[in-house]
Amino acid sequence: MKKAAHLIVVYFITLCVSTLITAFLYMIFQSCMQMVAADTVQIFSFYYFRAGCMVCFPFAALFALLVQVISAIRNQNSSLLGFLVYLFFTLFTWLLLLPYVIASTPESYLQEESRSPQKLSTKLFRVENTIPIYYLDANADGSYQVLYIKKDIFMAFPIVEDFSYVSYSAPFYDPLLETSVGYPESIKKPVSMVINFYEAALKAVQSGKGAWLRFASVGLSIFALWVFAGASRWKMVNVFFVSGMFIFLFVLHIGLYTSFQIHMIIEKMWQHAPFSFVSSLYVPVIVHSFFSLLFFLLGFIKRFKKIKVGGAE
Amino acid sequence: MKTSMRVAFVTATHTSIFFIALFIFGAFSAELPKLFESSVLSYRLLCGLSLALDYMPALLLSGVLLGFSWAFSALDTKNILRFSPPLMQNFKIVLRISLLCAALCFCIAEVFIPLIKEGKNKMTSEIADFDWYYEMAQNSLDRENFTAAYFYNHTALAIADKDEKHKEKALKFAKTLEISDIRFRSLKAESQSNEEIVCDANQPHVIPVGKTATDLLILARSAFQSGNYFEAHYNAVLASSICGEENPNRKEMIQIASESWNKLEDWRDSNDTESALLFERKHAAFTALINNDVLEAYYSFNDLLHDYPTDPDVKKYAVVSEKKLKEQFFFFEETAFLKHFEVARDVYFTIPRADGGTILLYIRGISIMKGTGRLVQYLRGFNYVTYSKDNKMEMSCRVPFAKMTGESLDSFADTVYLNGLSGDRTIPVILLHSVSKINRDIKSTPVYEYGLNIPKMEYQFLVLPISLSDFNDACHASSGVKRMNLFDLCTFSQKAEDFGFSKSVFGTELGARVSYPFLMLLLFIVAAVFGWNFRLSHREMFKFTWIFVFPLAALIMKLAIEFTQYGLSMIYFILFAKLGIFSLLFVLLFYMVAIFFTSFRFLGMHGENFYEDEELEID
Repeated sequence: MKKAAHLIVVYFITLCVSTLITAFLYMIFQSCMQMVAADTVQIFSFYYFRAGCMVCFPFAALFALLVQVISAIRNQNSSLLGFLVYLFFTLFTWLLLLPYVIASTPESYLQEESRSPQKLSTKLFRVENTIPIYYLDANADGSYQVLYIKKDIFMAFPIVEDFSYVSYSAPFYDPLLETSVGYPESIKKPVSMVINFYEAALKAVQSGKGAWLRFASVGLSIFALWVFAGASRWKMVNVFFVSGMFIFLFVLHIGLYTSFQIHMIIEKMWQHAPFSFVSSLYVPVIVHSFFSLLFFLLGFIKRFKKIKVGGAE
Repeated sequence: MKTSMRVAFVTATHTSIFFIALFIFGAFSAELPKLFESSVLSYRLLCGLSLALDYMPALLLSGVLLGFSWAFSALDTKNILRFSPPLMQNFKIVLRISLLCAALCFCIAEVFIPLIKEGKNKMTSEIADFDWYYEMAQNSLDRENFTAAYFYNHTALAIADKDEKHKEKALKFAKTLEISDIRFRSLKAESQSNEEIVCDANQPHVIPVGKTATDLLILARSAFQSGNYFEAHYNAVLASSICGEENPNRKEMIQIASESWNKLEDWRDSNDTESALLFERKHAAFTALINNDVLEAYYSFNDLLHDYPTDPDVKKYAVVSEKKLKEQFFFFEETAFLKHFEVARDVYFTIPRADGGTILLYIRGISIMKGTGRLVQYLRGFNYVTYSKDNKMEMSCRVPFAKMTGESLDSFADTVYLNGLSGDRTIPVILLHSVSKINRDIKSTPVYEYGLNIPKMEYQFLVLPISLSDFNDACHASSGVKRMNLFDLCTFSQKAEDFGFSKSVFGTELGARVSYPFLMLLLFIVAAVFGWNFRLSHREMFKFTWIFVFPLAALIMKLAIEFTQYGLSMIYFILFAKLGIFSLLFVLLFYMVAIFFTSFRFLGMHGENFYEDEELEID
């Protein structure tokens, strides 16, 4: 009973804390995108914080589900009650919370904001596409008087003047801030995946209940990860296995929705396969059903073995 | 096995296996930029090493995490209570291992990764340098400046020493150069053209003479009495040039100068042919020296020294003229092969002028010569442009090689506008003209461009209105914030904006770099907490299949570290923007508190029987 209650508490605490942290970082990021270096820093914006809460909430909810499993591993909670609690929260998250929050997120939070024309600070270097550009002065029409340093010019003067340079940097208004706050190379891919996931989820929500159910099929295979909570006697192995599978399923799901290669393979398979009577829209459902069945099967075999051996974990 | 040994064993094995695997993977999957064929292998090795080192913190962290969670299975934790002696004992081990690993991570980030990056950059820049020297050689040939072309091509050849393909290219060029040079020499012999060298006599002396006018007058007097009229004339002229108009001795100085000159003229008429020839040459060289035509004086005395190595006048004035030459020029030969010691590349920054204008510098490469008493820097591909207060271009100047020395501020009492620098600071002085030690036909002079209504001034040297140490800091800064070392970053983050760099960029990086070892320490202690919570059951044997989780753990830890660092960098950014340099204190304080609480958390852990939990039996 106590352990089941613990699972409930873990879910809500994780949800709240991770939503707040990610929303806070989202707020900083969004503010920085609009900022100009050397200006006074205006970070705290309730608008962006609210937007951050709405946008990051679905991910925090998914994370909370993972933390529930990890918490179950820690407490060696493989009781029926724990299972039911986890089932409830999976259904609650995937069928109620996520579609509701995603649907009710105002569109203005998701669209790239039209930037209010600001002047970039001058007398500073900005490196754009590896070319250092010195901003001398701002013109009235929004362009700048700049000096490029062209490193590959050997024979002529490598410092070239441009009187009407327009800075096209995106997503940051000021490329200087991108060096501080922009995504480092190492996390660009994971971040773009997260964004793809959100876009696919949003599309599914907007396309109706059927589309959302198909999208939410990933919840099924993630749910099945519960069976690994007590799979190994080394809890750490369980944690890494479950987290790794969680990431794998997440990435696979994004691939099913966005990857061109995977779509090509599916199209080809569908042409030759005997199950072409099913629409290829149901591929994610089939894939995730397969994985969940596989996981459950593995889990039951493990449990069966354990009972047979008579060892208690 | 003791707990610490178990953790060390797991961590070391895990880290080294995956380190090697990543090294091999990195070496084979490296994307090669434009490189010399000969450096491809070492570049691949460095790529492998850099990938492996990049993953090293994640490997260590996952190793420690798994290590602790395995090592704690050796303890019978059932009856361990909070803050009990076994926990205290274990905490010591945790702290020791965490400190060691955090220090290792810090060293990797601050020492090894920069070294490898440096090595990789050196390899990619080698070919770029080859191209530069090769093109400079080509260009010099087009301008019929053969010796310069030789010099550039020779350096290109030295750079491409190990690369057959490029070496051949440079050798081929050397051959064309030889053919054209022979043709040129014969042409030149016919025309007998002699380039007129014009010097700006109004330039102030950079290097102070070191003697007062009175000293020089005394020297002139004694030289006159002993019949050494060259010296008498030289010292008298020098004395009269540095003393003021009102100096009471001025008259005497001029008198000694003219009298000794007359003596010399008399002497000329009363000599045999051999000495007359020598005297004629000495006289011409001396006249050039007195008229401040240092180039003519230097080459004349140099030639004389070659023909009459024992003549005392020749010996003395050869030294004097070389010294005077070096005030305005430097020898081309000094820069030969310097490129191999370039300490900074692609340096760019601005210097604000006191009148509101801006100076922008771009230097392709800087080499430092030490051990010559004072610091000398050679600037390759030196470009200089000035803008007025209202952003109009005033003057630009470029020269393939320049020599920079630090001069004391006192040398420029009123000649230069120095942005209010004061005290005994050293400021950079850049000599723009270079000449050859032996060949008077070789001269490298700057190319100027001027803005509208700007007087067309040419300079012998440029004085930069910043201190030498600021110059060096700015050089490091322009190579990128990631490549600056921690100490430079610390001092530079305060004054970045003066040199055209954003303060916040440097401040954020400083925050991230200073706090990195503390972050890692915290993460390692957190790993120990997790290790305890998810430990292997007591006396459980290790199963082979578990090793498949190890790479997964490393990957997950890598992701976790990257995201944590990214999130924190945003926090550092705001903190620096709000608090400036004090944000560092705040961040460090935060880490101290966090480390303290995590340690407390570790000590506050307990074994299975701590709670009277009825469900335990059911499971």
